[in-house]
Amino acid sequence: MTINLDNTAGYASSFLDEAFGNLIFDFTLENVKKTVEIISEQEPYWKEMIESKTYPEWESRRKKGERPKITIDHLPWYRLQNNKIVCEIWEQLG
Amino acid sequence: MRNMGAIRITIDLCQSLDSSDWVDIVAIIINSILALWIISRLQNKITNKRVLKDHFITEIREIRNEYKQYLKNLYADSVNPKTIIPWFKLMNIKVSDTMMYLNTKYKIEPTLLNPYQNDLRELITENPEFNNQFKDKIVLTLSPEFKTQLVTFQQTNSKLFNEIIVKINDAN
Repeated sequence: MTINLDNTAGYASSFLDEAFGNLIFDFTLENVKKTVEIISEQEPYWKEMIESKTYPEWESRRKKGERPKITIDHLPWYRLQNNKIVCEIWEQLG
Repeated sequence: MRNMGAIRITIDLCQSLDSSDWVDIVAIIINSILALWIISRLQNKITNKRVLKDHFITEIREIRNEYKQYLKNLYADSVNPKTIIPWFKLMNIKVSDTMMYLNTKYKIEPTLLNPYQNDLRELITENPEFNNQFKDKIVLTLSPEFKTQLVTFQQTNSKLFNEIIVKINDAN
């Protein structure tokens, strides 16, 4: 899967951190690196930030079991659990 | 009459020269032409180099002024929060393009303006005041504490532009 970050009105770093970080948390660094290609030619800094900072930080959180903070309730989403892809509400408010 | 006299002298002079004198005269003429040609080529090259340097110095000054003006607008609480991220994106593209040329031409480090491109954006967009006002406010109102952070940022980093200008000037 290719995620092209170009030709948009721009991003806040926290948005990209959350978006890609949760991908790591849900599917592991190994799987995301194998599957996801990031393109960011207009702002190469984003690709660098995601791969060198976001990925290792969220992988570390995943291994330690530090659950992500959520600010609103979400619909069920997919996560890799015991080598199976399971869809449920993994985190809740409160 | 005077012209006739001058022509007569010239003819007499030419007739008195031998072949080795002619070789010397031709050599002098050729060397003079060559020297003039080399000087004019060098002059053009030096002029072109200077023109290009001046162009890039102007570009850096313009970038500096854009950041300065934007920060001024932020202090004056006259920036729409929804325009901040798009503004930084456009500036980043402009800055990256310019720094890429400076790196190619003058071997200037292309990430020198990273504090303005990335740190400043993060300083603003990671601030709770920005997040809280993003959806509903038409202008972003910043606290005095946050404005102080912006002032500190400028105090620390505004010298970067002059550093780049000096590097351009000093480059070969």
